[in-house]
Amino acid sequence: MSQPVVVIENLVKRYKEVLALDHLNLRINEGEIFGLLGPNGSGKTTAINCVLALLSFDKGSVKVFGEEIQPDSYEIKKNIGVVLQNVAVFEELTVFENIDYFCGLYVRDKRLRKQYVSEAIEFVGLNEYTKFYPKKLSGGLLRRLNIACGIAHKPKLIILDEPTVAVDPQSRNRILEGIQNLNAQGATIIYTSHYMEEVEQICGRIAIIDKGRKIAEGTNEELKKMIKADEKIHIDVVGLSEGQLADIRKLSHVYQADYTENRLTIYCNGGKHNLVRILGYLQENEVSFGRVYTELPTLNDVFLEITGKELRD
Amino acid sequence: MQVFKAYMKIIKKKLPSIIVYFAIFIGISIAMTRASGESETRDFTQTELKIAVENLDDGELSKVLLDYLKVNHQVSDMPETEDELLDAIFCRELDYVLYIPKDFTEKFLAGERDGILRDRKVPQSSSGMFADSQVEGFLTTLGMYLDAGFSVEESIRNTKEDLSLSADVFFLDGEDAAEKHVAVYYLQYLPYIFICTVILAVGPVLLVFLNKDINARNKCSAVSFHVRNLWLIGSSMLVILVEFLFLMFVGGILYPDYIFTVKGLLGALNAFVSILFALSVAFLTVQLAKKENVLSMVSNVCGLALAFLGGIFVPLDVFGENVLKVSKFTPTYWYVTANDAISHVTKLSEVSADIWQGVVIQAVYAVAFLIFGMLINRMKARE
Repeated sequence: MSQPVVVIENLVKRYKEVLALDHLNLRINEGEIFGLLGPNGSGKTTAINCVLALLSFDKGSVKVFGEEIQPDSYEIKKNIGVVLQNVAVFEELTVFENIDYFCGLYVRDKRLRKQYVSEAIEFVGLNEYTKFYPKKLSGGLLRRLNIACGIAHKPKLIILDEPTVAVDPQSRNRILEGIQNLNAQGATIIYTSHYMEEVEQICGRIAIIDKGRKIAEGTNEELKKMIKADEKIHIDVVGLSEGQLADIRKLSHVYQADYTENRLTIYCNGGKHNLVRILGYLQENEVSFGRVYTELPTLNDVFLEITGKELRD
Repeated sequence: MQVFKAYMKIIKKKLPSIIVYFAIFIGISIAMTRASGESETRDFTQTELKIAVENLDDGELSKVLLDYLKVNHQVSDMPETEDELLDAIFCRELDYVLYIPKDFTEKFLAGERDGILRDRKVPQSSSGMFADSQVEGFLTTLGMYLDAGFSVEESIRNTKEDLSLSADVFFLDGEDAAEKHVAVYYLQYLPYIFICTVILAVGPVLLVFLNKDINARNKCSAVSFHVRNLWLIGSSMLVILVEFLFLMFVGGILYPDYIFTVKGLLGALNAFVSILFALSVAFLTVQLAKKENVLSMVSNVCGLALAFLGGIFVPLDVFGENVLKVSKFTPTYWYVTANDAISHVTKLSEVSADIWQGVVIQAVYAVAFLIFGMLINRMKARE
């Protein structure tokens, strides 16, 4: 088993009456992309800020590279790259100068720094914009600059807090590919987002948090196995009677079926040929149907089943 | 080093607007220095009035009176019509109108003194009262000699002699004023420039570094909080040092005979403490201000308020007792009093306690503002 890079144990953080983190436990191993998924206000950023010692906490412990992190843990911080949720760059400095500034907070050697800055610019694809000032950049390019500022010094641990908020699809793909490349080069990544597709796409292990508590943790597949639904089938049906709906609910492997606004939604749990069996029933009973599609469960379904609400609520 | 480099790049980016502010404030200060230097020379000249006279008397006394008035004033004939006369008085083309009746000499020699002459003037005007006093002074003196038994010729001669005597007018501190070098006024205006320009130059850069997101990002880095702050303080000190040296250089070019003396040296020390105070004000301001335009407002309000209350724009001598009490709570008051005291020093051994008191009080203000700013900074960090 890989060495843990970050270990969070029983972390409790209160903002006056609000409990932002409620006995949170996380373990992020070396070399993995760890996703922290949760709706807005679930405590993701608070957890990240505690890991970075930007926030003090009421209870628990946070260890990074095996040591308790403190505001003055500068030796530990040398190996951490940070891309915060809000873009933190100097409006008065160019793209190159901004990356050079933040890289210079970690790397003193001028020549090495110049090389690192060039590599970071290449990495995020800002070669054509090195002399641009941030206000001349689009939202996507600005996010890329923010990432370059966080990763230029080649840290072992990179924490990205919602790096793709308000980013166009092209930049988003570029950012996600970049994160996977960084991981391939050996960096451990902590990635927070409320976009489940992104987390599913790049993260090896995922923790879902809500109201400051971890409600599930595992790989993408492990999380989906936690819920009953294996398959969700949608069929446009006209004139389905209550009796027919009750018959469908009795079919094998069907554990839930809803019929609203001419749409039949069936949740299946395991089994094979569920769709064929359902369509066969409709044909036998001369129920006319139109469009048919099936989908595998998503992390949203996991969240929905555990919390009773949508991830984006 | 990164903080220093970024600081200098940011200030370089803001340099054009800083230079404009700097030029404006230096221009204002030099202009006011010149104006103050002139107004403080305290010259005295008698006012010349415009007097119209209708003289119906053929006697000698009326002619003597007119001759007397003509020495110091412009005496002219009466306008032709009443309307023209009223217009002339209304428009202040005439300060005083004197009517001498036909039998003036005869009546005066007969001992009749009151109410012989008539006059018109702007009611309650100082020029009218002044003309009244001139005419009455002449008649009273002449009457006094006649009543004492002098002949008419003797009385006229004596009156003319008496009234030709003039008093030398001087102010009690006139000697000091005459000796005050114009460089003293140049130095006196420096705190106003310092407060305005330091807030406008250093403030926006500090505001960038104190920006919530940049600050959070910096805190995540491997450079310690204290090192970053030391670089920020060092960079700000360098900027104010350049400004201070530049203004001293300008002062040295304009007034070398003062700046390159003991007085100039002490004045420079006083000014340096003053610019440190300005930096502490800028530091406190950026803790409270969120936007750059607030800094501009604060610099104007602080600069003007401290300049007026501290006696930079208005001499402390003219302050009322209560205003002076308030004034003593401003560091600029202590700067101005120290600057004044320095202007009397000729040797280092003559440096009075007043000077050190002024300098130390300013330094205490600077430290107090700095500590206050740091407290706010810490409170904000905790939030």
